[in-house]
Amino acid sequence: MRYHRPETLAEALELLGDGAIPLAGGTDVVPLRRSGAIAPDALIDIKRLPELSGIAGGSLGAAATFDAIAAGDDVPDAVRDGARVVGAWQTRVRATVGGNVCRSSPAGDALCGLLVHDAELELASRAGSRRVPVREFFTGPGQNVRRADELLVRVSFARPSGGSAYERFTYRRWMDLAVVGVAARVAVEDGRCVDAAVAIGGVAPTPILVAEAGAALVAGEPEAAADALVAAAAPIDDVRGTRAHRLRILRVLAGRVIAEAFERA
Amino acid sequence: MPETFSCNGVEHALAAAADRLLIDVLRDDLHLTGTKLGCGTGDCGACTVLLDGAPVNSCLVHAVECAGSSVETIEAVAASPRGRRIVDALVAHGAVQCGICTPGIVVAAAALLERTPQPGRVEIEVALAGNLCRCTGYLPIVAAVEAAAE
Repeated sequence: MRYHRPETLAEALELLGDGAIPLAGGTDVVPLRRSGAIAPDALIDIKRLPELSGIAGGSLGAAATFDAIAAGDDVPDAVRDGARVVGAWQTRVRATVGGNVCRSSPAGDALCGLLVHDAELELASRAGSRRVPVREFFTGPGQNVRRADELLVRVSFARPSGGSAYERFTYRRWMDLAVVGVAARVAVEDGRCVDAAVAIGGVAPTPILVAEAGAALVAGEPEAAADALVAAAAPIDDVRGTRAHRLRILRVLAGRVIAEAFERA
Repeated sequence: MPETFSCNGVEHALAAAADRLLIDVLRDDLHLTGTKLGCGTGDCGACTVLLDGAPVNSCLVHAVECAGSSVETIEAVAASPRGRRIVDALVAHGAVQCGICTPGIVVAAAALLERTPQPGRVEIEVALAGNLCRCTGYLPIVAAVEAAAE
């Protein structure tokens, strides 16, 4: 296997392709390779590329680590909440938001926060670059629209306003994967909710932004919002929980997260 | 110019193959066997070392990624004044049984105290959440780190 550390984005894009995959924090790539789930010919270390670095004014470099995001200013609360709970300290020092997005687990802890903040993903390739709204990025468990020759460069937020929150249900307090996750964002004017978004994770093949739930919050109907979330969820029975258990947890968790978002608004 | 990395203050040439992990280079090439291999998947923290001052699971880092960086293992951390205080506190509080998690715990605790000199109990638990112990039940470990911080 080969390892490359390109010094420029252009160099990295020349190297990427089938068999040559990006290496960020390695917290997914190394175990996946070890288990045989992936077998890349080359690792392209993108951690030090300036275009993928930094946290500033509503934009995260794809290589920004969760440790840095959790501590950063100017990060939406729901995204920061997710950054704080991934793995443990050792994981967060290495794991990146770009890796979390591109791993596309339905339970990824940064993803619901990105959905409620209407994040846009900048994907670069030799052919140029394109912006994909995060709500159009995920296509299935571990699947997304990124082509093998594309590199996620930055994640930017179209709607940084409002209060937001993310919480998840796990069996262990730390070092666990979300059984159910919920993020909510609300904007309040004169005591009225004028804008809202709710996203759920771990209960469908992808994390989902549930438009009806946001609309219900704007209409002042929190029960209808919870009903919409349960209706949109399509959880399965798996090792982490049954379908019925997840739906019960989802309703309770959603109530808590929405209340927290209103508190922060 | 061959690439190098610094380990416990000493520069080493990075001649490792692309897929060799940092933990294996540390243990097999540099004979620093204080760092332990537990799970190999980044779940247990037994392999924790400091990479540019921050705790990482060395079983998830390829050695070649460390070019230009500085690595500190338990050997260096335990020899520092802060590390010695942590080790002494762990022993005094009965927080070392089989000892296999202990190097990782000392490294993570040292990084915590560098960042937060007077951590509360919850902060200690959060900082050590990535270090699993099968023997002690964690309570003596947390008490020891709290004591070492004073």
